[in-house]
Amino acid sequence: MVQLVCSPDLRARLERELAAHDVELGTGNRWVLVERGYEVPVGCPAIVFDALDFMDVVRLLVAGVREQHGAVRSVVGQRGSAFVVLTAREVVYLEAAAEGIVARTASGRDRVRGTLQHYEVSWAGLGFVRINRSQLVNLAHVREIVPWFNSRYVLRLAGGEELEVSKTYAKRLRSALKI
Amino acid sequence: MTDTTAILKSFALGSAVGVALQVSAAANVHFSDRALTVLACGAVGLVIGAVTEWLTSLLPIRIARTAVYFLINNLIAVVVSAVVTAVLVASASANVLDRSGLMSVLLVIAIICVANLGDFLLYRRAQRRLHAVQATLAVATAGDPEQNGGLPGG
Repeated sequence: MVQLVCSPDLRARLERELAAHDVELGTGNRWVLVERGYEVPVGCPAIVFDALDFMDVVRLLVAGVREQHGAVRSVVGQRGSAFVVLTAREVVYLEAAAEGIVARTASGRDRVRGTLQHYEVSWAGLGFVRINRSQLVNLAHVREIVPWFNSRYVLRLAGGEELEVSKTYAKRLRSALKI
Repeated sequence: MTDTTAILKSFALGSAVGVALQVSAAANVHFSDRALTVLACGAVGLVIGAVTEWLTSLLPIRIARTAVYFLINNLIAVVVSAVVTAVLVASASANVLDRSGLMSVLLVIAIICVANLGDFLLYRRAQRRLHAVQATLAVATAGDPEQNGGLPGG
């Protein structure tokens, strides 16, 4: 939600440009765009800009919105003929199986679209770490890290399941945990 | 696949044992002999590390348990080190059962045990870090409507 504090002429232009990029306008006070010379509202983040630079502000906002949309935190899974929406938090791990990428949740296994690499990048901030060539684990569901010989680990999950961390990917786990 | 880092760590540990053994050595030993002893101990550590790595690489990962790991790790290190040290002391025409021979073996075992204790502390640290990361993730997703089935804070 973006609120505008500016001249009527500039408001019309900004509304047109922001609407074209699906940026919501209103008084929700999430962000306020303030034209220089106008009073900056208190209690919410504001971007003060010169009237001549209004397109820069539009680009800045749109880039931020796109970034937010890029970090999709849910995925549609297919179980048999049914489709379910899975949030990243409920996914215990993702694995490359014969039928494609499978998301393992507490309630079962669902086939999801995309590649492991895609989830590795887009869900890294949500605690997903690659642990071997075919599995990506959600650290939120790991109960214990069991050390093993030859620089390997075994991750014991909340449900009792165990996943192997290969030597190649052990570094990534250590880096994610800063150990 | 062998882990060269672990083998090099064994070399460092062996060298540390060599340095510690200098404490019980005679005072009139020449510096070059002392340096040679440290290097020899390092070499022994290297061999022990290589053998241990090879032996442990044969263990199936399905038996991986924290207690099993530390038990096997400590057992192999202590037994192998004690045997090798005893053999070296005996081959140097000294009596393993006399006071200095026994002290050397005990010193080696003590250093190995301290190294394994350090390994255990690293394990504890990893668990603490895991819980810290989990707490951060929980906070990060607590107010996220998409993560809570569309209900903010739910």
